Amino acid sequence: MKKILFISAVSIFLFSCKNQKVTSIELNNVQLTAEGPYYEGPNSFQETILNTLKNNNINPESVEKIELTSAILILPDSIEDGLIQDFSLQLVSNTSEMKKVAFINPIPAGKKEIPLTIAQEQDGIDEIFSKEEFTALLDANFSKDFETNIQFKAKLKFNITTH
Amino acid sequence: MKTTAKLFSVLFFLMLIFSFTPDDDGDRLVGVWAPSNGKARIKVEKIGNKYYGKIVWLREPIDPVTQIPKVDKNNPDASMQNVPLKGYRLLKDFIYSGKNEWTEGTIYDPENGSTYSCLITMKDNNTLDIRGYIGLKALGRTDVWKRLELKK
Amino acid sequence: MKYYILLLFFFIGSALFAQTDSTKKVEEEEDYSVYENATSSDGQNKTFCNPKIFDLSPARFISIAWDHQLPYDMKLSQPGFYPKDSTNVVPYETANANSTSGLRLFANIPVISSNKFLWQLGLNYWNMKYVFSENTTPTPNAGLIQQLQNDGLTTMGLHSTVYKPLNEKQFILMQVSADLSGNYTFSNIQDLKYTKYSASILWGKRPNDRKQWAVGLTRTYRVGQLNFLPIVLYNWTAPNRKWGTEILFPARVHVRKNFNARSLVMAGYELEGQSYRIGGITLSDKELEIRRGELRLRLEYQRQIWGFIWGTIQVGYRHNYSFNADYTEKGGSDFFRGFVGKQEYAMINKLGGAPYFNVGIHLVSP
Repeated sequence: MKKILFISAVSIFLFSCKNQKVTSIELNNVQLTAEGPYYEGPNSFQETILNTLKNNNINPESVEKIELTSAILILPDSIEDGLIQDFSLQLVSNTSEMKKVAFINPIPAGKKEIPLTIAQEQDGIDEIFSKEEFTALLDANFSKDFETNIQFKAKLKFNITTH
Repeated sequence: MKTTAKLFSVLFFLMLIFSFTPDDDGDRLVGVWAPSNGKARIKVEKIGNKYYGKIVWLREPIDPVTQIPKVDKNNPDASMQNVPLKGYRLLKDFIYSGKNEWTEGTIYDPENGSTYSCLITMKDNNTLDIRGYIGLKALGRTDVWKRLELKK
Repeated sequence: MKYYILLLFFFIGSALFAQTDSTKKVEEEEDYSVYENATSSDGQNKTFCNPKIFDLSPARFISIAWDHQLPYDMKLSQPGFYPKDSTNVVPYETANANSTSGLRLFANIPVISSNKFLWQLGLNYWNMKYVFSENTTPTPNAGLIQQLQNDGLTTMGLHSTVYKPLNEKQFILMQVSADLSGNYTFSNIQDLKYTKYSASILWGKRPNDRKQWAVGLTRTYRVGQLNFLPIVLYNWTAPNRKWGTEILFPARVHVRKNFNARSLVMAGYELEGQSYRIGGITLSDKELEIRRGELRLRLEYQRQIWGFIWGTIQVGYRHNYSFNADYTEKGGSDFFRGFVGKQEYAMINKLGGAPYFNVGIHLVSP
């Protein structure tokens, strides 16, 4: 009897695992923009991202979980060290809550490619992706006023678990 | 024919009236506001179809213990505890639901890392009731925020 | 045909008059430096002091707790007339209480809660069931131990608390309560004429976010009998926000250690007590009231369980301050002895000390 129960439990476990699939997708060219001039304090840059799941042949209804696994920000050359004190990256859509997914504070000096710290709690990202468009919002805290227009490029990687 | 012309005239005037009505009264929330304790100033802006409020000024921006700008050290997510408070979005995901109320949003208290359900009611163009609550609206507290004018 | 054209013009007209998109795009220019010099649009900028300071233990909306005392001895005298400072009174009843335990329920709901005024209404229910061991001396049927064993002691009460900040630094705090205490049950509730009333009023200051103090007066039954006492409130949090005090002297004094925003430990004491009218003991023209007062030394661990649900575990030692009894007039009126009165006691009772524990779950306030 115990043997039967054990085999049943293992079978159920393997069966449920077998049905899940994890797909890794990359958004390598997220252009976060805002019109200057920028003033000391928080300034926000954003881009609307369309049809991510559709473009990767993923049915939104099959999605169980989405996790941001990597976020790298590429600073333009016009940004000198110390101009920006910290970054926060949020995702939001019209029908879901805004979710802070990554940040960095302080920004390491001398680097143009900045890997952001990823949030441990990532509930709700699947809801953000479920609609055809969502917005990536980058908040940058400027240490002083800055006149030149800036565009940040971001490379985002997600793991999408589907059944 | 006269009756039809009259009908069209009425329709025309009705359309004029409705087209002058602002299509989004919710945007009255946009602006800079001060909570009653005077310790911060919050800028409300619209992103997409929802309203968000972020800290743009702190009366005491430096943590007296660490001597660095204050961060979200009480965030329940340990990985987010170094996010600076300046620029932090305290008010999130509000939708204008009519009758001077903004609902469906939350307010975050960096003092204890708790997020509360929240109802914003505009008492007049310069005064907001911000009610944070848990579960039932009765189990909460209302704070009065005042609109700020920015000196150029 | 011309009517269709007219209709077309009406719709075009509506479109021409329609609002442009008033969405304030995030990318628009913003002058963040002007936030330094912003002023209130209508000239009103009055601020009021918050009822809390940083890192206080969370205030509770609803509490459910179980309180349990470990075994101790009980020595009760025969009803009579005993001078206040009587010693060596021979016990008439002795018992070993194997356990004294019961449910404690508490609710404190804001009626009005704003930055200018806070009014809360609450109710409480405390019950203590006594389980005595078999080596209890034989007692008359109307003995006190029999009464305690049958029905225990119960308190039910209502209270109302008002916090009124006067300005950014000063505040007034007032509380009134009405408690019905005795050896009654839900099916046999005591007459409301035995209700005891308490009240407190304090005036205080909140000089900064880490300190709050107040002084005032209280009419209280906290140590069992009616007393009028001065009270001092002192809540403080250290600059490093790891330590603090929560004091409402003489009722309770605690030192607090904050581990983080979601857990803390408190060490100190609290005075508990009430005046319980005992039914079932027949006296010709008097009532019997037990003046129960106790000092609880304790350590309490508080922790967030989930969201706004917190749990507490309290361990400590209960020292009995008073379990004496008084005669009171039939009809529920009481008298004032205080610390200096010389009125005689109806019973001189001694309770041994006992370790105790208390576990609770609470819905806490923002």
